[in-house]
Amino acid sequence: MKKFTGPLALGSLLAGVAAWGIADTQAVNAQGFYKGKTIKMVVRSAPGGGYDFYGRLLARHMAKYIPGNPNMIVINMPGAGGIVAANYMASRAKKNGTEIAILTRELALAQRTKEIGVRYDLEKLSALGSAASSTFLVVLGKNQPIRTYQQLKDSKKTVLFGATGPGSGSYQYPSLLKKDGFNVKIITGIIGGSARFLAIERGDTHGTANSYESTRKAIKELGLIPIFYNGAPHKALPVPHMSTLLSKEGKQLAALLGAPLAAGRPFYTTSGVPADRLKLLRDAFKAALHDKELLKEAKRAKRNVAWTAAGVMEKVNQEILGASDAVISAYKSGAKKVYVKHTAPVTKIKKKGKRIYFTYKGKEIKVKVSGKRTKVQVNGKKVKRKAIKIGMTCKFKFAGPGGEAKYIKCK
Amino acid sequence: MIDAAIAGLIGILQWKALLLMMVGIVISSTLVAMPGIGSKTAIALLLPIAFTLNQFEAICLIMSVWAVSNTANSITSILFSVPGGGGSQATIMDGYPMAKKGEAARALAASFTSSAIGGIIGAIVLLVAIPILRPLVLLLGPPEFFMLVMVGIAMVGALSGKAPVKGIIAGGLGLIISMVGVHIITGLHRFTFDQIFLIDGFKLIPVTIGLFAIPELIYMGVKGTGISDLPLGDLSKGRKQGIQDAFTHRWLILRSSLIGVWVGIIPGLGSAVADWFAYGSAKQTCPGARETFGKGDVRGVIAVDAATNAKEGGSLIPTLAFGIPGSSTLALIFGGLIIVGITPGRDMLTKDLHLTFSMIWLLIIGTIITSILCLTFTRQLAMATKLRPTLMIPVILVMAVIGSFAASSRFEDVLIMFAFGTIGYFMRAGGWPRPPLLLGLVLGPIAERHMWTSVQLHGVDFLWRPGVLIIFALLVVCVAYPMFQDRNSKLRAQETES
Repeated sequence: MKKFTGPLALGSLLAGVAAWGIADTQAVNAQGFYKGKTIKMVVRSAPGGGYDFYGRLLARHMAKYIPGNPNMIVINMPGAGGIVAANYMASRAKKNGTEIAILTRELALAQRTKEIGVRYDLEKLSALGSAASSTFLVVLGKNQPIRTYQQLKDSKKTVLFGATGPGSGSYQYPSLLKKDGFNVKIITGIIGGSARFLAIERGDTHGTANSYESTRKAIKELGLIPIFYNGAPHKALPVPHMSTLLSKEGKQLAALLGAPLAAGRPFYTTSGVPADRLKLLRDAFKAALHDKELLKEAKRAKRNVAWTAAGVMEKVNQEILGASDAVISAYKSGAKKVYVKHTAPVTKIKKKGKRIYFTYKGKEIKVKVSGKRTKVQVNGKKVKRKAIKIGMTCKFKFAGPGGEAKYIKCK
Repeated sequence: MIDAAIAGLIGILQWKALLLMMVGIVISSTLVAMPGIGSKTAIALLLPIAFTLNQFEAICLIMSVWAVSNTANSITSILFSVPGGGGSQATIMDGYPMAKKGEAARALAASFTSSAIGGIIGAIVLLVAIPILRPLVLLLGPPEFFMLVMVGIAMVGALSGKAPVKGIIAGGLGLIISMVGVHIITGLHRFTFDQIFLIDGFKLIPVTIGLFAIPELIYMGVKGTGISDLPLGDLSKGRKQGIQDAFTHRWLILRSSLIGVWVGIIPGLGSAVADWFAYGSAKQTCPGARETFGKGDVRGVIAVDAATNAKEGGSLIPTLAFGIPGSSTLALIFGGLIIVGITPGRDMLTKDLHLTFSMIWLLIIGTIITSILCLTFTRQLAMATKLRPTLMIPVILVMAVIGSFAASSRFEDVLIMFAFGTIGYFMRAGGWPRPPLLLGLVLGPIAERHMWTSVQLHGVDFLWRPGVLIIFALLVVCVAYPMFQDRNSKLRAQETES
């Protein structure tokens, strides 16, 4: 036994030193860690635009509220709608609180819908807070008769909405209306709010959905008419909030789209940052957003600043990540192809079964049948497309008249 | 209007504003001359300073970086066949062969001079267009934009030289490459193979650097000589000659500048293709150009640089009239200018007209100063072509790597650059024209987007809109005129023979 006393004593001494060391590091963490260090501010988009503005704004004003007054540099990391920057923060960034990032507000949605390229887990990133809330607004031009939500709902004439493309807010809102049976058509490929306002002015389209901040000026200059909005409430908006409108499913979707707007400019740091250092960053973030100079700059740039606590942001993310599959699939169908189901007898077959005709809503229409993608069944058995014959009654799931069929089940 | 013009001029002629303009010009000319580092990076760096300035000073600092970036961009294109930025690719076509012939000073001088004149013409067109800006832009919808892009695609023929079939194939290849990434209309991923770096598609800068710079490096290494193995001659004389060249070909400059302005007006098209459009048109219309272009014809340099600088005036038209930035750089600039209270849009043509004039004056004064500055250093720059290859190859290679990486800070872009370097080498060795590939890459997505939007709006009937028909007629003239001219000259040659 005696022989072990020495190493044991040495061991406890080492343990003691280690414990003292840890305690000491924590003390350093809380106060002096950032002294002489450089904090990287990763911005999820290219220079220019909203995310870049807020990233640089915070980089200019946050450091003075961090003890040790570190340097802050901005690094733009654009790509894949913000997914590149989020992946970087989750895997490659230093996990000691010297890298923070402004990430895309649709991060949780992208993770929940399992978008290609997502390699991050939001619950493993640490939220710092959000710098602004956002409001999304649906507007119509002045040279058309519709003035209210009800008139839009009852419109017999197809209302054209300009949009960037699927995945963007300008597409999602009109597609929500479309799902609720409104007579609207989405015209894609018109990139940027100003271009969509121009399309309205030129008479190409009737309306669009856009953030309130970017629409405010156009409402005044072009006389655009607000119809309804989603996200953070605005005093200046005399129109209904989306949560009071639409069908049940529509409301759920609106809530899903509206949730990220509450934390419209979200900032994160990596996982593994010691709790006291994380608190320090969160406090500095909050203090910076109440800084007089920062507010002055934001006001000059006509950008709103509204601090949202990290806890609120995490709750919003959990809500989105926990959304039911039904809501998510409805969201996805709004963002991508809308399939229609219909049962009818086959009236005509062309191109050796590649085109199949049947009656839908009183009109004869055709669907495309792919040899690879379309599932074809006759009496429950998987068969090739040429097995379909005229007169068979089939159940079709297809992407609208003329579109490709997902499946055809015949009897 | 005259009051506003004078107020605008006085605004930027104060000593602090002028000093900031000089700062902008020097930063732009040195930083932007590095490949891959565009004016955007320089502007992003300067924006925080601009927040503390008054409106005129902010315009002077920020806009001068942008206004003059195209002038210095050509330096590396001419000397090393490495494009300094998106707008200086076509300068390589004749600028680099000139450098190889020992005429680097002449090429640089011609480039700087035509750049200055082009910039002035662009500013004047903008000035003349002020009263009709809004109606002009309102006339052009997606169908008209689509047809304008088609005119550009018709340029492939002109850029293919004596190998039209190879040119069309290369153009097709460019179109296919342009499809990689997320399809903006449907949100579908095309040819991305679940690779995250392919989601945004292939970026123009790494592709261009690969296609043009890497093959030259290989050739230089094999040959074992510097860029030029001919004597440089009297550099001052070369410079004088270059300046004279620009004035001799003044009509070419005017024509190319107008092309530049026209391309600038189309949002999203501007920066990357104005040079090719001007080059293609010069090749079609200059006498004897078909034989001499690509082998070091000074007209090839003049046409390109006049157009790239003139397009800046053009791209201000949609920005000022509607707040639609003509390019991503302008989006960044106006994002910054908003902070000092300058908002693009209708106000710029009414209440804030004096600020618009400041910008026009700045375009004029800035380009003149930059060109004089660059002309001063032409001789020193030209000497770089005499450096031995053991020194040049590593330097250019580093420039190529940094340039590819800097554009969007992605390591994958460096790999893309080398991949296209290999493709470029084989294309060059096999006599395949490389410009159509670039044109396909740039124009493909724009044409596709405008076509989709047009079809959604009007169905196939969009082709019968009067604007579309007029532009189509222009396209026919563009294609038919050189053919007609060719036949005429052949006939004439036959006549003289008989």
